[in-house]
Amino acid sequence: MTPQARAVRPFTPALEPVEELDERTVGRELVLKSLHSKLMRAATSPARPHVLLVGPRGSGKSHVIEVALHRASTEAHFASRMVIARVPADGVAVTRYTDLQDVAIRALGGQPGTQLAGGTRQERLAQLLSRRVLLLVIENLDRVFAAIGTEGQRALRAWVETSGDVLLLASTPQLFPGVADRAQPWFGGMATFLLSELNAAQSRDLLVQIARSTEDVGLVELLGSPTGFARTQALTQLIGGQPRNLIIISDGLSRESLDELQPAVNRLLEGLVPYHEQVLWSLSPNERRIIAALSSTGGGATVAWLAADVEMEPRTAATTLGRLADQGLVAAEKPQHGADRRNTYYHVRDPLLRHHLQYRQGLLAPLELTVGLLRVFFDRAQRGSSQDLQSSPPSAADPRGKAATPEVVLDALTQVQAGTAPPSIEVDGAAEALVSHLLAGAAGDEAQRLMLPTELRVLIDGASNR
Amino acid sequence: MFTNPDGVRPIEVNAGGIVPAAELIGRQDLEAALLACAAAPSHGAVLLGDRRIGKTSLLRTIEEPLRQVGHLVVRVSAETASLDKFAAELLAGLRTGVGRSSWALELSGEAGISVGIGRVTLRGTASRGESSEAQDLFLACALAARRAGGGRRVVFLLDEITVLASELARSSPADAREFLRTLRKARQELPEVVMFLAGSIGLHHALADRTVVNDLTEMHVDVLSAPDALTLARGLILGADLDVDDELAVAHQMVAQTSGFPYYLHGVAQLLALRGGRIGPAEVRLAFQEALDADLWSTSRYDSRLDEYYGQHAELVRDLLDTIACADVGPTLAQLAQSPAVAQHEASRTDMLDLLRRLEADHYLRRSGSTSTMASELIGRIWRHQRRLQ
Repeated sequence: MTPQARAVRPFTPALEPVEELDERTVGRELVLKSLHSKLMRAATSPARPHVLLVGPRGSGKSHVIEVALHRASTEAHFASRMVIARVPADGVAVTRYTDLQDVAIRALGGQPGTQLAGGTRQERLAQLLSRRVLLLVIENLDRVFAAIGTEGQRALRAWVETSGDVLLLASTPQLFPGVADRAQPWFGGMATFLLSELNAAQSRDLLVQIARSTEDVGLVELLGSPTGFARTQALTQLIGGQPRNLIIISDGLSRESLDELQPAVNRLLEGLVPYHEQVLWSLSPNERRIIAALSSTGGGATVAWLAADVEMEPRTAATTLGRLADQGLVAAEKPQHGADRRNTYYHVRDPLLRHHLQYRQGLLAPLELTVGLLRVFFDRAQRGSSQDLQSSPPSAADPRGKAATPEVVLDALTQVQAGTAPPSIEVDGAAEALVSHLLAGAAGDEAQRLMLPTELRVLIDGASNR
Repeated sequence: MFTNPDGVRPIEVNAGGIVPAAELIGRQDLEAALLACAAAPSHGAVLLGDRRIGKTSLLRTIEEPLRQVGHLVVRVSAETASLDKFAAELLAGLRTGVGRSSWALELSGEAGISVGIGRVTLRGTASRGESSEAQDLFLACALAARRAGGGRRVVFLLDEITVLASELARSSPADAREFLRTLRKARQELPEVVMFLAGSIGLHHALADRTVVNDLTEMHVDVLSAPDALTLARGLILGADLDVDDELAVAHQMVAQTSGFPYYLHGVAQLLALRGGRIGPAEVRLAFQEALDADLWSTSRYDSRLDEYYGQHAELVRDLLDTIACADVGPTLAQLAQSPAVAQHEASRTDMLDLLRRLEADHYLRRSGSTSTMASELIGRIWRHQRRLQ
């Protein structure tokens, strides 16, 4: 049967039929169960268990909110007692605390600016609510809090605490001082739900759900096989388990492109170009330089190396890295053993952003080798538990002097780990550093291991946490 | 509500939100003390306790019982840096507490608020028959509330009062003192007025001279007693529908990890609910450790805020806390002075005593006779974790 066109919206789930979102939900059942319980408690008691969903962009926060509200709204108590006011996800119109109250007044059918004589918006809201509970949904709470400032945050808290008739359901890409700093008004004021990445099995389930919805029988069949799972493992290792990435990659995914893997990854990078460009252009020039330099290394780098590479004062480079870490764009690591433990290695947290920069510069060799290595590695891992695999036959035993195909590099790595002398491999210039770090890391050089792309460390560590 | 055979009620996990009075565990003595204080000829009380210990919940819980015994209750949040916003909150609180129609009768015309240095004045009349000249807002409002109350006691629940006081002190300590003096004046001049104050910031950070609140009884909101903490933990296990292999052992471990701090008990229960799977004491320990490692509850602030709080003495304070947190038995001042880390600062006995007192007020330490210990095992563990002393 020919696959059908899809109607999945990776960036605006609110515009999709909520029943389809609910059906497609994978790996969020515990979050939804807990959230449902809190929404129902708010509807049936004076409890106001505010919730903050925390997860990187594309982790499914909006999806979870839509599904949670949908499920709750089917309950009579919720429907009769709760009134939902939603701050638009872009939040650009919210610049003052009172804008939030105006959103609520509108949701309640009132007209902002027509407060009771001598009364406040809060009193107007209490009147409009008429003993019901306001569920104020705020996505991108970090931006909204930044816009309304500390005084606005205080006023919001005073309103919520004093009235007792407001429940907050908010989301943010990461914890930020407005909720995490003990000196701030909303410190600890909301239960934090961290949305973790989907693991390989959950990622496969999501891809299966979407393939079924488009009646792509061939793809469903591959995904259900050990080979399909190996491909999903490789894919998840490379792009992470963010549902949005999986949804984007599913657009145009076929049995063939998943099996080959590289075409699917290329489609994803192409699809994410506007998003990554927006992320990069929102950075300061210094921040962009650091990200670009880190991406060119493919893996981790020290402050000293980066400062020299981008011709920046080390102090400035360190400060810039700190800001990037605060934004969740880079992460820092120290060697756990060996090497010089005083050094800190920074890397771009999202491998796709790193690959985006390489991809846009036409540096395809590192990505192609990375994809190939992960594909073969997980193939071989699956082969250990299944005889079902049909692709990627075992490579020749002696890799010396051979071109750096994934099979050859993985064989060499196995030999290094077994204590054999490192073999000679012919490596394309752009991927040379990658292979060098990989083999040295496999030989026990911790610093070299940290200079590897994070997604490839599984080749050395041998166990994936995905 | 479902009750299990042991009589433990399920309690919904609610880390940081508003807790219903029926689910507030282990605060009965404080509730009773506050209600007694409102009934007695007293000016009120100030609630002291660490951030997120439950002071606001306690204020909320006594609101209805106070009304039931006939008091007029006015709840106001002072969580603002602005006196005029506080004044607006106060007027709104009075309209709600007194009742809109009664309040409209009291107000002859709209009150105009004028914010001066350290005080808020009211232009116009807040109470029939009173002078229409500028008058102290709080006193005028208290007078109006008294009149509307018809002889009843008027109980003001003023939450986060220390936020406003600290913000005022930032520009001038005299402003904070003056503001709190206006509250004291209303208490002194109107015997019907009682105030319960609470705040997440220690008053000592806003006020060097605390005479303006020395008519208020200090009440300490502390971690829960072991039996109460266990009751809460067991209720949370039921409420979160946790799949536990030994309910009592898991509850005991939750209490041990959190030292009975209710916010963290809720927090751990939430983490376990989201983690799923079978839960034993080991999973509780792991969840708590992971939360500390990820700084999920911003416990690093216990260390980082010391520079702001203690200025030039911050390093000495860190060494004092390191020494106390690692001691098997709480050290005396003399023993602290002899520890190498503390001795290097060559601080005077008076300075060290002052710092120990301030650390007690900031909920790091607890005094026991002549010795000092960490305020709870939890604070000790957090400190050792932050300072990598484990």
